[in-house]
Formats: sequence, structure tokens, C-alpha cells
Amino acid sequence: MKRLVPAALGVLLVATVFAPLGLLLARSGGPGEWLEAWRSAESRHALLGTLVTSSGAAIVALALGLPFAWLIVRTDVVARRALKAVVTLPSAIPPYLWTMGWIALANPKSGWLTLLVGRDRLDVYGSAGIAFVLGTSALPLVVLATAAALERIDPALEEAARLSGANAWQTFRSVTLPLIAPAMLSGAALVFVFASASFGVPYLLGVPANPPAPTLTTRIYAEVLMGEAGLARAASSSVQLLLVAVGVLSINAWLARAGRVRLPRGKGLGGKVLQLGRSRGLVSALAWTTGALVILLPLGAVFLTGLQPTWGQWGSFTLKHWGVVLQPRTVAAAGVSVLLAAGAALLVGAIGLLIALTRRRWLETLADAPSAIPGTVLALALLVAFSRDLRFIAFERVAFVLALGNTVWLLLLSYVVKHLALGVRSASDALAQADPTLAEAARLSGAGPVRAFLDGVLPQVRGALVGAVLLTFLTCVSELTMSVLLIPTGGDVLGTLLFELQSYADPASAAVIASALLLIVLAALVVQNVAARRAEAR
Amino acid sequence: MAAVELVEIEKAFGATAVVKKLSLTVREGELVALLGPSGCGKTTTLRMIAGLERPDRGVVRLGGQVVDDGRAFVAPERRGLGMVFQSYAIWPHKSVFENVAYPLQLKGASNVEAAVKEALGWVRLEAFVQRRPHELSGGQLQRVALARALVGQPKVLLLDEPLSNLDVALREELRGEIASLRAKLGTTMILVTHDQAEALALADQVAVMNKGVIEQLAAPDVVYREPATPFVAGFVGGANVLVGEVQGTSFISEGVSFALPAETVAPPGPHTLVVRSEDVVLGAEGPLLPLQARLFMGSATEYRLGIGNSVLRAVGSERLEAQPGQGTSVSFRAVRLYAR
Repeated sequence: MKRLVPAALGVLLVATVFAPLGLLLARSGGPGEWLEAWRSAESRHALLGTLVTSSGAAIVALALGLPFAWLIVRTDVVARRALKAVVTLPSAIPPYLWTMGWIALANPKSGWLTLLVGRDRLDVYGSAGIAFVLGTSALPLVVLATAAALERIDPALEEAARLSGANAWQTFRSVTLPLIAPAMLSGAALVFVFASASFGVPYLLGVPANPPAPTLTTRIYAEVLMGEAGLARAASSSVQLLLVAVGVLSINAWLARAGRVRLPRGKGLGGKVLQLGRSRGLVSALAWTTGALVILLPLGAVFLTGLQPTWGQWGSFTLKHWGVVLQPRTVAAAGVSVLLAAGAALLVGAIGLLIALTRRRWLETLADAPSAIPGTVLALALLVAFSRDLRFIAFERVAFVLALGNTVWLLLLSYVVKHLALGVRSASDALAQADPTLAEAARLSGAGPVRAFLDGVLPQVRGALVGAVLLTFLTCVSELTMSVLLIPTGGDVLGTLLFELQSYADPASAAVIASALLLIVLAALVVQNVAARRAEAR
Repeated sequence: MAAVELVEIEKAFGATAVVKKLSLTVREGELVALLGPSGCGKTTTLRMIAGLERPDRGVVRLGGQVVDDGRAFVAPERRGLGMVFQSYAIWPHKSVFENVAYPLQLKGASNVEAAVKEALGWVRLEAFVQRRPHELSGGQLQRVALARALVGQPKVLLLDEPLSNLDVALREELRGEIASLRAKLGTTMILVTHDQAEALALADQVAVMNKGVIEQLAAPDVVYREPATPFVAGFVGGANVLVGEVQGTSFISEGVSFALPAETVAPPGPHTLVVRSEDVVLGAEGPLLPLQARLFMGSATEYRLGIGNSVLRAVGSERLEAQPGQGTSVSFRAVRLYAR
């Protein structure tokens, strides 16, 4: 048992993730073909598009994230907790929802903001728009990393600088900033990887742009649509995308190790906040306006779009589009999404716990890796590997046929492996903190190993596990990137339905479904918050 | 001229008054220790001198100049002070050299390198110029902090519990270091500490603080020999404090009557009696108290006697025949009485 379980899990991961990735690599040809692809202007254009929009997103997230983190941790800005909740909201909401909002706000012809500043003065389509929307929807990555670093700095480090003759600004530049820089940059690297792997935003904003602004993900999608002929080229683009992600993550890991500065834990008067004094009103107004503009306004625009009689006609309202919620196609898509997301979330929790319980580093690393692989690449690998039925023959008589291609099971598989890291990490962190003596005490009280696990260990890791399951559910229920590639012909999930309505047919209906989705996510967040606060109060 | 002058400063955090109408004058070249238990307001007082905290009321003067009187405020970086923190506060992203050079670079001083070398020489760390902070021990880090605080030749050096993060041996070593630096540089210093041995050993004047006020400000030997209040006696000398009543030549506490030493005269009435543990005489005369424990401490032995619900401590070098559980007679060689 002790060896069988980890081995079986390892084989399963290799068969469902790494072997398909190998097949994808094989499909892309060799270095020769990659060079060939590099020579085509189109391919270079897409790679460049990914690099430019991802760097832009990282810069946007840094520029907005640092001031927000500083205001939230270090000052008495009005309604700090609420401001933090607002700027970290994007982590729970799929980026394409923001895109829909920004299209309504800043399309060059009839956007609400465009009309305020003048027709054609504002254009969300193109590389700049993609970078901006991706940057704001990845804002929490920078804000949370920076805020955590700011909270860990010993205030005496900054006070020592003041006593050495540095004014507030010099202290920030020469002490605070260098100390939080590693965390900030690592947050920015994650934004870069997140942006390079995004599909919905560059598709909705890049393809209709004039001139079009392709990225690797949108190019891969276009190539896959071409069928068998495009698959080899799509595979080659995937290799580039994978290299970008792995490259940035490796540089980040290396920097983190090379430039590691151990922050001594603050002892003195930790958590001392700067009194903004007379400028408090002005600073707060500025912070809240910015937060409202980049986070709340686009979400509001999505709601309003669903209430307008005609798209782009602001000022009058109707509920006629809300009928789409009850249409059989919507209901079916929602049903499939909820079932798939629930199944994926539970599997992530269960397999994550199982892997964490084996306490094998290699297995945890193996389960961790797929989360770093861009969804488009992972989906394409699964597509390549499982599009044909696989036959296994055992004992020369019994034949198993694995026919995953074109079924929702492949979708489920992709959701599970992509988010497995979340389950493993939550479970193994919780297990590391769990008190082993509780299980030992249960054994000594007469419980068998299973009973001791259920009574002694499980209650201690349940909270973390439930959090991971909830988060996986929320991410999967609106998943788009992998779903567009793996969805069975003629089927829908919420993400693909929204995507189709938004890009081809009916933006108003798309906005209605998006609004409904938003309401569900916000409700889930409120429930989670209340539960967390209650747990804290106990 | 006074190097530091505090006039009736007050500070409250929320509803809690931390410093109450506190006045203190520190003369140039003097080392004053602010001594007291945690929460007595000593660190807050120091931080108000530094400008890291602002008093609600009162005036802070440095070298005769007002640096904070509620309206005028001189920022900490412009007060010309040096400060050493309990947590060392050595910048982890800078080398030892960069840490010590920082105050000079901000001043735009010339010959930074020579000055840094000299300052590191004061704390015997010349060989560590190029080290990174994570390669140093706690004692070395605190010596770097001393060099950094002194390199700019501050008018006053503020020391906030500088030794309490160190183990006993290092603490004594660094205590000597501070004393010899002071002898060499003549810098005015204010030391915040909760360790009475540290305060008595280093200071010219000890300000014993309790609940936001200075209970006594005097030379160390005076504070030790002539404590102004029972709190000072209890905190500094570790003396026994008994609450009771003077009747004639006796002191009655917890229903036990002790004879007062001949030279002690006090009017009858409620008093607090303070007696050092080395002034408690056992086995000679006086009332019998039960011996609860005997603690051998090397050069002396501590005896704990029960009186009511509290404990009377006696320290002596001579062996006592009584065993724990038995009664032994108790008398006082010298006491101090405070009217209640």
C-alpha cells in the first residue's frame, strides 16, 4: 500500500499530463520546425504580441498594485478593509467578464466612457487594451504579495533610517522599496505568466482590433480551428508559449533564491499606520476613485449592458434580455458547467489530500507542475493525445477502449489536472501545521488507523481543503481557455456560451449571463467571508 | 546647557495614558537610564525624544532648541540623534559598510570610507566591513547598530533596550563596550531598559519609571540605598515590601509583630515597610515564620519564608539549621518606612 498508492498516482499523472505533453512536443516536430515557424512573420507577430501584452500587464499591475498595497497596509486611508476587498476582487472573477465591461465602456464607437471624452478618442481594442485589462484583472497577485511583504518589515528598519537622517521619501526609496522589491517582482512575474496564458481577453480585444493584435493563445485557437493541417503549427506555437511560461517562472525562482533577503519579524510597534492627516481626504478620494474606475465600473457596465434595449444605447432600461437565462441552451450549459466544476473541485480536494498524505516530494512536484502550464497548451496536449480512441488489451483477451475524445470527460480531466496544485498545496500546508498527537491520542484511545485519521487529522485540514474546493469550483464554473478547445461538438459550458454570444451573436444576452454569473460569484464570496470570519471569531 | 529637556510631556494611546506630565533634564555628556517594567512608558518617552512619536502636550527641547511643542515640529531626521533598537534594525539588503555609511552619505560627507572604518574600529568590527548582515551574530549586529548610530557623531545617542535580545554573556560584554565607548567619545546617552543591573552599572542618573511617571531620579547608588518610594525599592533592590502599621517600636503586618531596628523612628499609623533581603536576619531573635524553601545560589543562599499569603525573602551566606517546614525567628537589621 505504502508504495502502491504513490506509484499509481504518479503513473496516472504521467499518463494524463506528461505523456500528452510529450506527444504535443513530438507533434510540433523538432528544433528545425521550430526555427522554420520562427521565420514566418505571422508566428513572430503572435509571440511578440504575447510578450508585449504580458509585459504591459505586469507593468500595469505593478503601477497600480504598489500604491494600493502601501495605502492598505501603511496608512489610515478611509475604509481600508473595503478598499482591500475591492482591489482583490478580480482573483475570483474570470478576466473575460472585465473585458466585456471594458468593451461596453471603451469601444471606439459607442462606449460609455468613449462618448464622454469624444468618439474614437478611446479604443479598448488592441495590445494596449489587452495589457490594461489583463493587468487590472491580475491586480491581486501584486497587491497581496506586496502587502504581505510590507506587513513583515520591522518598523524599526524604517525608523533607523529616519534617525540616520533620511526623510520619509528617502526612507521609502532606500529601505522600504528594496525590502519589498523581491515580493513585488515575483508578483509581477506571476502576472506575466497569467497574462501570457490568457485566451479570452486577447481574443475579445485582439482579433477585432484594427490591425489585429494576435497572441500565441489566440493564434493556437485559430490554428486548431483549421483542423488536422493546423494542428502541427498549433503544436509549434504551444511550445513557444510553454517556453515563455517556464522561462519566466524559472527566472523568478532563481531571482527569489539569489536575492533572498530574510526579513526579520517586526517586534516593536508593528502595524503602526501613517496618519495621512490633512491629505487623508484627498488621498482616499483618489484611491477609491481609481479602485472604482478599474474594478467596479466595468462590472457595473456588464450589468447595465444587459439592461439596455439596444447595444450601445445608454439611458433606458429593459429586462427583455434576461429571458436568455431561461432558454434551454443556457440552462443546459449552466447544468454542465456546475456539474463539471463540482466534480472537478471534489476530485481536486480528494486527490490533493491523497497526494499530500503520501508525503512524497516528487509526487507533489509532479502534481504541482500542470498549474504552471498555460491552459491552452495543456488542453492542446490532451486534444492531441486523446482525440483518437486508445485500445488497451489485457491478458490477450480483454480490450479496454479509452474514448475520451469529444466527451465532457476530457474537459473534466483538464479541469482537475490544471487545478490539482491548489488541492495538494492546501492539504500539505494544512497537514504540516496539523498536530499529529491528536491522531496518536485517538489510536491510544482505541481507534483504528482509518478512524484515527477521520477523527484526529481530517478535522484539522478540513478548513483548508474546503477553501481549495470552493476556489476550484469558482474557477472551473466559468472556465474558458481550455473549454473552447476541448468542448465536445455541439455542447456548451457557461464560458464557451458566453464567449460565443459575446463575439458573434448577441452581446446583450452575453451580458445577462455574465451578470448572473457575477451575482453567483459575489454571493459565494460573501458566504466564504462570513464563514471565515465566524471561524476566526471562534 | 541641557542636552535634552522634557517639560511636562503627556502621551495617551486611545484611552490609556502612557506618559503623564513627565519632566526630565539630561545634561551634556551624561548617561541617563529610563528604568521600569514593561508598559511604564519608558520606550514611548524615548520615541518622543526621537520624534518617532509626538506628545499630546508638553515641550521637547534638544540643546536648548524646541523640537516639538505641539506646533513646531522638527522631523526625526533633522534632530541630529543616533538610535539603537532592540531588534538591531540592521538593513538586511545592505552590507555592514553600507549600513554604517548610510548616515554619512545622506549628509554628503566626504571621506566616508575612513569614517566608517573608524566607527567600526570603536566596536571592534573592522574585519567585517564587507559582510552581509545575515552572516553576523546578534551581538555583532548590535555592534554594527552602535557604529551606525555613532558614525555621524550625534548630539545624543538613544538606546532602546539595546541588550535585551542578547544572551547573558554577550549582554555583559556589550555593556562594557557601551561604557568604554562613552568614556572615549563623551556622547550624551539615554538608555531605556527594564534590567536594573544594566541601569545601575551604566548610568550617571537613573530615572525609575512606573505607570507613566518618574518615581525617582537620582544617582544609581542613591536609588539603590535610598529608594524614594516602595515601588523603587521593590523594583530596583528587589526588596521585600510589607504593608502594615507602626505601633510604638514595632511594625505589625499580617498579624505578625516585628521589632523595628533601634535607629528607625516613625510616627504610629499605617506604613509600608521595605526591607532588603540581605537585611533580613534569620535564627537570632524575633517572631517565628515558617521556612518554605531554601535555594542555594552559590555565593549565598536564599530563604523563603511565609507571611500571610505572601513571601518574605532573606539572603545570607551563613548556614541556617532550620529545615523547610520548620519555623525560624526573623528580625530586621535595617528597614525603610513609608507613610501610607
